[in-house]
Amino acid sequence: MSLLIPVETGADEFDDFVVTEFELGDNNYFILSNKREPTEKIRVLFPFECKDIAAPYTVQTYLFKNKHVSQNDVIELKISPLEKVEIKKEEGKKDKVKSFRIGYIFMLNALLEPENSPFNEHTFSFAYYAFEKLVSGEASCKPKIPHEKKDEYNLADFYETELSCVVICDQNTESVQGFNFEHYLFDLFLYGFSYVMDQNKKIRINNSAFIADKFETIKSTSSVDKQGLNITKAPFTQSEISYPITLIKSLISEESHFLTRFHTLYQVFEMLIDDILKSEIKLQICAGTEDLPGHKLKEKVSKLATEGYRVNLLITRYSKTSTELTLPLTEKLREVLTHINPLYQESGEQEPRTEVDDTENGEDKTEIQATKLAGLIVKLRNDLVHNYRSLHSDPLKRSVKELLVTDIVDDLELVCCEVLISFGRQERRKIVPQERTSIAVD
Amino acid sequence: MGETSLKVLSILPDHRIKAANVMIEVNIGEYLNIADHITDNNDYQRKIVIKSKIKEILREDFLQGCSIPPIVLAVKNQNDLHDFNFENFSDEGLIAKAFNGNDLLIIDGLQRTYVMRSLRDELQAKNEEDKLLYFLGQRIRAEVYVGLERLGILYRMITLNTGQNTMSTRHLMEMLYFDYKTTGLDGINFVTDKDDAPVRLNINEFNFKDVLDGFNSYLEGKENIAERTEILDNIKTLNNLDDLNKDIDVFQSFIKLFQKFLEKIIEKTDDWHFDPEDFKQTEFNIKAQPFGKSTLEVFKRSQPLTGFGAALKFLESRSVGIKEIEIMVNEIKIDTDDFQYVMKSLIKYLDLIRDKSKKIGNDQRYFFRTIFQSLFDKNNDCFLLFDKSVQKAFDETRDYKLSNSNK
Repeated sequence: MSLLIPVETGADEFDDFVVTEFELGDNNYFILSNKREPTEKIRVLFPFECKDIAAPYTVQTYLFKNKHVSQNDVIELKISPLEKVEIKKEEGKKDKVKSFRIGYIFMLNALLEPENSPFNEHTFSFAYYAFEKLVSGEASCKPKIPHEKKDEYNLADFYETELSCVVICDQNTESVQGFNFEHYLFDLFLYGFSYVMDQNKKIRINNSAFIADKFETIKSTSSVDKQGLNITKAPFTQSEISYPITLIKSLISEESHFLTRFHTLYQVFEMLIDDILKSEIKLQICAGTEDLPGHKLKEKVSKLATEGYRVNLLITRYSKTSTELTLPLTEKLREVLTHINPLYQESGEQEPRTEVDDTENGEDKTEIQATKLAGLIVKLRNDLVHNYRSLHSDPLKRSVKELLVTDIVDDLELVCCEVLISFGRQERRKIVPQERTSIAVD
Repeated sequence: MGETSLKVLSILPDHRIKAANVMIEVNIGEYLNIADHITDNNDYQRKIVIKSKIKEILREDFLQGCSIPPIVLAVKNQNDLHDFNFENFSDEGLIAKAFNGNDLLIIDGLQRTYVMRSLRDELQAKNEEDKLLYFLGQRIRAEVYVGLERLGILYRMITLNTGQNTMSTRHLMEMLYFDYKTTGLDGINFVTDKDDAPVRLNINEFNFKDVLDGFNSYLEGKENIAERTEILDNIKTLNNLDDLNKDIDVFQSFIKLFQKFLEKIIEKTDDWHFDPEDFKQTEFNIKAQPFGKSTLEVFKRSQPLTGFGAALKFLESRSVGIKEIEIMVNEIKIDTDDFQYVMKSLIKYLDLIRDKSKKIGNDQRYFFRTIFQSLFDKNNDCFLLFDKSVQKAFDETRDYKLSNSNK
């Protein structure tokens, strides 16, 4: 990887420059050499005094947009391994490994103003290594190409300095089997971190208050001089998660019509309910159906075939969502569905309970809430797919409906992320003996 | 005057920078004798260490006796230029004198000079006498500017696309306003990086660069520090190179006014000093080190200086000049009776800005600019009220600078 520099100011031809040395002096510089003509060199100013740098470490650097991060923030990033990693104690007992640090988050601006440096002796090394990665063009997104041909540049010539930088230390993650940072992007999104793949592309930002509140918890739960964020990975194999990763890295940040956005998000539901179908067949059909009468078995199969039932299972049984997110979303969904179909409210009592999967003596509030939410999401999906014209039926209300759906899609982004990181396959799920069959939505 | 290989070829006037351009021819050996001295004593150019393939080719070419484009030099000492007129300058002896007295600057050709020097040293080290003699006897051309003032030198260096590549913002600013440092303001001393001495904490000694930043903010009406490219653009677009010199009086007024403000605010705040005990109270709890540990330390930093400069420009647009502000400074007061309380609030606010800002330095400059604007604007509710100005400055900084990025 390299930095591209025009062969002369304003030219359309570029030379590749790679980091070859670090020059210490009155000012400190990363020296980069032209790949084609190694004797031609440029400097990139590293504006800090070079204190002790912990060595030798290697890091990975990822760039994000997050309007909540300040220049003064240095957030310690920790993970809790999903698999319960266990280590044996001397006396033979087993102990659960606690979360551990994998890196830090800070703004690129923090790398430019040494007089307001937020780094301490320890984190400064991460700043240095991140800087090196950035000037090597080895961060998660390509550096900008400066217009001017100069001998001396600074970091701002290549990167938007309001971006946040996540620096992951390879030496800290090497003990985590199959570590892949991309699996943690969904949780980071919930804290406002939108992945940046291309600095020239506009990044759409989710302005949900839920994100702001969640980010605030980093500060409120941390000590004054040490902020920490514990992130969770999405528990999927690389092939299973390839679409959600594409979604979180690029599609989710694109400025698109709400219909496109809804469609791209709903793909996650489609993907997961497909998985649920297979799990539920194993659980409900393959196991213990020998004594079941044929019509009951048929009922079970029909129920499993319905999309609404499986979305309900996804939200109520296979994953966990925050009520701070789902309560207002449920209200918004009700509102927009009422706008689409004024009669909806009258039939509303039964509509949300499309695919109820009750527990023995009734559901707890959270589950009822999740059930309602699942029904409403599927209902909106059906309306957008089959009845989109109804959004345009009353020109006076059109913009209200569109705004509401846009707002809902913003929330759905967060629901998708929560579902992805909390998803758990239910091989061991206890089947409730009398699962009520209800009318399928789809 | 010893024997010289120097020969004047032609003299042309340069109307843009009001100097005479003298084309000469000289042996490489003679040129290198003075070049050794020049390159070791050149304030205008940083050391150049970067090699390029072109230089290697050039080295080979020299051995084969190639000709090179003229080196551009300037006569440094202006003392012998009484009654100098660039349009009819013809004093060839002055050029020889400058050569003998090592009184020259390299404006363009430093790289070529380095290549020639290293080649000479290499041939000497290898005892390759024939090659050395051949090389040192080769003729090269040089253009020597006569009557070029400091700013003209800088201007030529930039337009010839040299020097600026390795010059830092600080270096550029200090060069551009070098005369201001030596103007000799009564009782005020400026310290530059080159002085290699700390700036003493009193109202008579200032970091030259900080003052220049403040003055630049005043000229531009912007509190943020000028980028290097902006300074270069300013130099390139100077219609009249004398403009800058005319600003010297304004510069003096600017720094004297700021000095007076410092004196008064220290007096009014009863020379407030930071006491950690005060900041243990919830009201003044701060997360980082205080912005300054005394009234003087707070206001002598670059952020208040640039804020002050930008505010002066704003006030000028409201017909409030430096002279009026000089009087106003005496009348600064507060609504309550506790200037020290206001200083503690100010420290607390600066800490909050530091904690919440996406661009700490810029937002702190904005904060100070708003304080000064509110304090000296007759149409402002906070006119002459230090406590209200500080409060208003924080409210505005929070609303306009921090609200987009933070809750």
